[in-house]
Amino acid sequence: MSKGQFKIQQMVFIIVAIIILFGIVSVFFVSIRFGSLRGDVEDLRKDAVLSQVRKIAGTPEFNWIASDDCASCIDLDKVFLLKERNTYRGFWTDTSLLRVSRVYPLEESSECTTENYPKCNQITLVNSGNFEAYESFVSLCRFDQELKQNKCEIGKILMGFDTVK
Amino acid sequence: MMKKKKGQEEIVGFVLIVVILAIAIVIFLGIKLRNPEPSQKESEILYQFIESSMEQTTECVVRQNSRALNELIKECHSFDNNCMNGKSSCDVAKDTIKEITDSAWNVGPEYPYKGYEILAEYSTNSSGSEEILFVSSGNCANNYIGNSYFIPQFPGNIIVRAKICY
Repeated sequence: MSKGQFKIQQMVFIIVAIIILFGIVSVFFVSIRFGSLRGDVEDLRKDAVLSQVRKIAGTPEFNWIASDDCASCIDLDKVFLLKERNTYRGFWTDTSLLRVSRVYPLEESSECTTENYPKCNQITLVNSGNFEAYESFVSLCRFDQELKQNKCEIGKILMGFDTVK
Repeated sequence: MMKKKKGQEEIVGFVLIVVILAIAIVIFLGIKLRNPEPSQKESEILYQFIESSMEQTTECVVRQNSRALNELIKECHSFDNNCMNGKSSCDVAKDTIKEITDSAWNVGPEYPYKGYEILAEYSTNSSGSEEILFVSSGNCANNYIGNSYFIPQFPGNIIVRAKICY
């Protein structure tokens, strides 16, 4: 092998070594960048489920008709009456949990009954089996007898879906 | 002997290139990891939270009528009315936002969410934006989820921006 050829071979080795080094660094960098994509996909899926949960506020059983421009408002009196109605047993077959709960201001009693309503914190319509729960913020509205006007308070709808066994 | 020395020089050169590259990578990674850029994720649940809280009936009664939070923010911007309990509409709006947010989100060093910031500002196309109220708690440094809610107020809009930091 001549001296020139030997020099070229050396140069090639160095270039290959540098390319490999850059390759390793690039793979490391790309793996870090793409690692966060999985989290972003999870977030998007969660947002889609939350939107679905929120849609129940627009159903006739829940929606607040006293205001035209409140998509987030649900009629708390209606929801409470649904709890007492036997005809609605088994109506929400796809859900294992369906609960409306107050966020602010909180009252002392937990579950609403005919004795403590409206000074209570939650109305449970369905609660059965193993579920994965999702919650969505809504406005809980009703006519307040003390104020003599409509009153809305922030609350949540909780929906639970069957988990795979 | 001469040939050997030249070979050693080339090896030293190669090692030098590798060392310089390694140092550059370490410095780059060090800076990148030490000062992570603030990142915002748009959050559906935060939008729902702002939208729902704007309907909250507050303790502020004006002319026999309890005001909703969005009405109070509008009043706070246009003319700072006094409620029947003597508090100003701006103060009641601020207090209500703080109480609702503290109830809805557990915020603090021991929780996953470290802090929050809620800003209401009036914005028009012609005259930029003007702060109406600002409520914050805890530490809001780097990463946060955020969203905005628009309240129409002719000729512009009131924009309520919320950030929950983690």
